[in-house]
Amino acid sequence: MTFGGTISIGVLIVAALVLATRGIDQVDDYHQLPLMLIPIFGFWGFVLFVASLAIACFGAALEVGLQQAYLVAQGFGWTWGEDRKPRDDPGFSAVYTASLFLAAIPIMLGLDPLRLTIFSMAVTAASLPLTVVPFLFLLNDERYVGEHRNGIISNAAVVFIIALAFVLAVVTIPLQIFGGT
Amino acid sequence: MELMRDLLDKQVFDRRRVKIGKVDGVVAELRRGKPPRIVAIELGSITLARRLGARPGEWMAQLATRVGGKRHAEPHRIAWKKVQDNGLDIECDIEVGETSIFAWQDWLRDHVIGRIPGA
Repeated sequence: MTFGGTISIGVLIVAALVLATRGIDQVDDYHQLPLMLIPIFGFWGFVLFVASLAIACFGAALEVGLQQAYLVAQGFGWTWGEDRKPRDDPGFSAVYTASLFLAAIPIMLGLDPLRLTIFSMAVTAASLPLTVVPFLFLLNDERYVGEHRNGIISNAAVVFIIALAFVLAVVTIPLQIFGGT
Repeated sequence: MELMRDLLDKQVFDRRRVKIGKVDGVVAELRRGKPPRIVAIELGSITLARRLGARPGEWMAQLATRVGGKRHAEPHRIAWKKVQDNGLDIECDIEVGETSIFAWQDWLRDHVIGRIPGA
């Protein structure tokens, strides 16, 4: 998480430094992104950009696919697990396989990837409270976590995160509608 | 034990600690002049659909019969005397291989997933 966070902050800083000085203050197309690395690395900057985009997309595709599989398999109580052979948990592995194909449909229909990204991030932020509030109960339930139950400090942290999630949820939808891309 | 809190939607394991589903429904027997008695738990899509209403339940039963044959026309039922609550999960004294609960997963393994190289 720290690694990914550092990289994200790095990308933000480089984007602000490079794109803004070249007069791009509104990124509205993925084609503008390679410009971030070209001024410094030249052609190899482009190659580097393609490679990092491929790695990021590959990782994200795995993560998103697996997330669907965990959600469905745990929700319905099937056998699941990444360290099992697919034939030992067919339902679980069928979900992540199918979700990879399903996820490709919007792009194949010609939806703008950038707008789709922004839209799905807004939906994620709006649904955050639904995801984090149960944690407050779960992390205080001794039947599940036993001696690792939350103390005052960790509960305060969870409550803070929940408050943050609510603020984000309330703010995102109007921003999504009125803020433009 | 509170049925809604401690039983419904809880993870079900079989004798060998295989995760076989969730408690999708509870079957109670109504007795004249006495409190109702729990006789079984139910698992499966038909029970889940019935929770939405009688009609979705019928549709799901028809679909299950069409896809899986007559033995899938009814929800999977586990007798209450085979059910044990260990506090977090529900353990049943059955073996999933002897039931038809995972029939669709077996089909999926034999016909789709198992044919993918490396699976």
